[in-house]
Order: sequence, then C-alpha cells, then structure tokens
Amino acid sequence: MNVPTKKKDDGAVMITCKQASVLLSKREDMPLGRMDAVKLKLHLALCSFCRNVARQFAGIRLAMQRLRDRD
Amino acid sequence: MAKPAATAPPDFSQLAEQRAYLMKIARLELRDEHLAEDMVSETIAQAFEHRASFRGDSSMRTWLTTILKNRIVDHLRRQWREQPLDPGPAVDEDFDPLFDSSGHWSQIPSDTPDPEQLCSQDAFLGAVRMCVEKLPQRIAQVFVLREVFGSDTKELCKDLGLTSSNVWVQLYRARVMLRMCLEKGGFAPEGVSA
Repeated sequence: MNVPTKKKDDGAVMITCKQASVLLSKREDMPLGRMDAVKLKLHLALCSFCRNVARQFAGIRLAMQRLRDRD
Repeated sequence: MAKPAATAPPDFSQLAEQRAYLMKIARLELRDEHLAEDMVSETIAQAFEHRASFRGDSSMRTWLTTILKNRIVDHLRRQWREQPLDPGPAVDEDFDPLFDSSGHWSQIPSDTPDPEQLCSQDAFLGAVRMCVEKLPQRIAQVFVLREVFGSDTKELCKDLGLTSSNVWVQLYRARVMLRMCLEKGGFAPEGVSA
C-alpha cells in the first residue's frame, strides 16, 4: 500500500498540478508506468484545471496534424 | 521478405505532386525557405532515383516523408554538432512562475473545449501555427519532428543523438510554451467560449 507519508511528494499517490502537467506531456510521447498512470488519473478526477490542460495538450496535437494534412 | 510490388514504380510527375505537401512540412521544421526547397528537391530526386524500391504498401506521401525526414535529421545532427544543444535547467526547475510554491497553478488554465471542437476553428489552427513559429528554434525542431513527422521518442533519441530525458524535456517545454502562448485567447475561439 502506497501511503503518502513522506514530506517530499515522490512516491505519494497525490501529485501536484506541476507534476501532473509533466505527466500530461509525457503521456503524449510514451505509455506511462502503472503508478504514474494511476496518480495522473486520480489527479485529473479531482482537478478541473489539469483537465483543461489535458484538453489543451490534446488540442495542440490534433492542430499540428490538421495543419499538416489540410490543403 | 519482399512482397511483390502492388503498384508500378511512380513516375516523376506523381512524385512532384507531393511537392507542396513536402514544402509545407519542411518549412515548419526548418524555418528556412531556401533550405526547405533544397531538401525537398533532393528528396524528390532521391525518390525518383530509387523509385523501383517503392512498394506501394505505404502511401507515396509516407514514403517521401520518410526520405525527407532522414535528410532533415542528418542536417540537424550536423548543425547541432557544430553548436551543441544547451540542455537548460532540469524540468523540475522549469516554468516555476507557472506554479506556486505548493505546485498549484498560479495562473488558472482557461476553460478549454475538447480537441475536435477546438480544431474545427480556423482561428485556433492559425493561433497554433503562429505560436509554433515563436518557439525557440531547436525546441520547435524536436517538436515538429514529433508531431508533424510522427517520430517517436526512440527515433528522436537515435536520429538526433539526444537522451530520452532530454527529448521529453524539450517536448514538455514546447507544449508548455505553446499553451502559454495560446492562453492569450487561443483556447477560446469565437463562439466556443462561455
């Protein structure tokens, strides 16, 4: 059981928005490890700000594809 | 195992039809019209020379894009060898002004519609293009290889001689800089914002 007891948040289940934003970018490039994926999912469930950032990153990706493919 | 060719080798005009597309992606990557012209012309010439090896199991556009990408990464590797990339601060120290000391957003991200809805707006696509043009050159080069040429992080490491942490730090920087640039109205195209 991974309990957030440490002061430093490495290893804690609850992550900050700052850590979530790093994971949101990372998952655009590689599959996240299991723990990271769980932490991010939990954070997104609780944080509407980071849900917006998730849509922003996804929107940027889609926009780059549209800019490439449209004539 | 070579599959039998599904199509006849392309003729020159079929290759040249892809020129406008190749120029578009080369410009995004290189930000240099003359260099982009050279790379695209060389790509089409190389493809014509090796036209018999085109098997038709990928599209001609994909095949040409791969040839162009290989020329571009060769060029970037040479260029970067002469002027090595400054890796900059570790990602943890990066973008501190975006967050308060407890790691919360200090500027609240705007309400953002879903990607399809965002990208249905020409204004958003235009804003993204403008913001990409403002990225620092090398960050943009890595980002465009990832998002436009479709290189994955393994390829980026191998092609550009970067470590994987360096690659994802560059990509993270690119995305954060882009979202900061787009926060100036880009995420709320007309008719979508509340």
